[in-house]
Amino acid sequence: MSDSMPTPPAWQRAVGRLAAIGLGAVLLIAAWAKAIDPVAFGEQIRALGLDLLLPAGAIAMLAVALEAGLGSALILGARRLVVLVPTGLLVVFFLLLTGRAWWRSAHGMAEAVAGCGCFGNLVQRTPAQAFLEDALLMVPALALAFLARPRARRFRKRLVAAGVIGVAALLLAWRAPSLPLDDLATRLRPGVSIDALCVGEEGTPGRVCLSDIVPEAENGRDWVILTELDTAAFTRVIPDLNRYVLRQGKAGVWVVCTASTDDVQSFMWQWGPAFEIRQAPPALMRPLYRRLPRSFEVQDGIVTATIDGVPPGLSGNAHPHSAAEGD
Amino acid sequence: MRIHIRPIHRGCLRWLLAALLIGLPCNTALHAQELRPVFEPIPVWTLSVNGEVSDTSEVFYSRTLGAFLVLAPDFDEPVMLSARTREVTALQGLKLVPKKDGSYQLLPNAVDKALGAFQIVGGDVVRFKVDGKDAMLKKRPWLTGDQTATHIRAMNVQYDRDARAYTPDPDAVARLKAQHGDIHVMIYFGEWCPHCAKIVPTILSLQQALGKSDIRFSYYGLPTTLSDDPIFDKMHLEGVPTGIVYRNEKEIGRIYGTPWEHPGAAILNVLQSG
Repeated sequence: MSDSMPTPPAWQRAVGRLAAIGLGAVLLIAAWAKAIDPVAFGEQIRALGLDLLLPAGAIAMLAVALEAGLGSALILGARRLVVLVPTGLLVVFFLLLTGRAWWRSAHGMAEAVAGCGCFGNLVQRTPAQAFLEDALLMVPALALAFLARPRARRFRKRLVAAGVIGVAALLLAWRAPSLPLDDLATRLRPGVSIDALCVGEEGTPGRVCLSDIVPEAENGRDWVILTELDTAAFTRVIPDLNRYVLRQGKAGVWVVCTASTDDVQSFMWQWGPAFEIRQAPPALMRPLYRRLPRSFEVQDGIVTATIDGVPPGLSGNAHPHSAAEGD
Repeated sequence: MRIHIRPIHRGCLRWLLAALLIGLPCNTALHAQELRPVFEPIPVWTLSVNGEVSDTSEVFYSRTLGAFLVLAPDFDEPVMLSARTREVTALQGLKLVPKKDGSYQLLPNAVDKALGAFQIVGGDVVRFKVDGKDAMLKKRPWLTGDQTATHIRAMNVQYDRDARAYTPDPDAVARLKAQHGDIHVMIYFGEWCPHCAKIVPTILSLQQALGKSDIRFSYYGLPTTLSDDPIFDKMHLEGVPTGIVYRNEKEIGRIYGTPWEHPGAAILNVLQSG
């Protein structure tokens, strides 16, 4: 019977195909952004209360695999309902999430900074931006992808290929935390200016940039350590950090954390730090790391090197700059 | 014996004393002192001795030593608590030189007298003994509710010190003094908030520089969870520090974020655009 159906015009087939490729690309990029930092994605799932049936980490892995599988199926031209319907559900799910975040932010129930939506923690957008951009990127493409669907040849092969990509994404997400992908997965990477690492909309009270937290780093060469004050990986190097700062005879090292002022004061009584501690809002700090502590060298306000952990030169005897270059 | 080491040594006399104490010419002492431990005042800690609050005590911190210094009339000598060793020691008062900015510099060869160890109870109480007296340092609650500049500066030595160190833009001060009418600037701040610690002292300094002008300043401290105070929602605040400028009791504008870097210009801007 389908043989008797008229063949759609070539332009419709082309539009449908291009829309599917576009939507597939969006899904693949989004899957990549989440796969390289699945911990942050899991935190978002937990924060949204979506970890009802499975642990948030497992949901994050499965979501990445599904997103990558569907995205690659669309790019490979598999525009069957078995692909498009789950894709549609995924798009609706994303829009529900971002729409909910927008509504909550507009009603003063959440911070006005969205890390969620399609691009995970990599791109900073306000809740309104996240919803509108996701809707604009995905809804028209999804609708057009239904246009002039061909009788897919080699559909099963394409589906298998998409499945393999999905599994590969799952493996990437599983191994990513131990891979050196910090510079890719976060907004903090060499070349970035600290006054461009901000949270909140321009001109609003919630706007804070890293340069507001450590204005001293706008001039000269400094090290900034992002950490939790009570994490063992940090506390065990405090005596070395103290020695380094005292040896330098100037500050040069800034510890940035999300601890409360009370906790900072307790820390001072516990450890007697020679370095300065600066407090940053969690929304500013979270997109800058996958795991704490994470450090970076900054020269005249520009990030020149990043380190997973505390630079060995600060916590031991090696020269910190040689450590950074080797990273 | 009670040693009064509060700001009696000022100006060159201070340097002269320091030079005599360490037996070096005055100019050499000036250079060398840059490298010596400096105790900077820290706010919010109150001292109790034998259960009685010591209102005139002061607490300082030295990054070099990782130690706290307590100056109190209840103690014969300044007391130093080293966070790195947990040891409490009494210092010879004359080995501490007060500086113009309210900090104290420790001279070399200060004679310590070991007084034992201190204990941290919870996160905000420190207990120690000085010559048989039970001493306790406790974090006082943050300043909340209506506040005056005088009270804030008296309670928070850091704010007071930073306010004294800040010089408001003279041009902005002159132009603000030229403003007339009923102008009121209401500052909502959180004493716990690191941003406020930078900005509020500059506003306090500006207020002082304006003296008896037509511009009134009021302050309101908010708790760490801002929305715990109903005023936060009532005034539709979004964060701290926020300044609301009123002319003839009518709100004409708000100040938050980057403009606070120059409070005088920020208030002028609101007054001119309002």
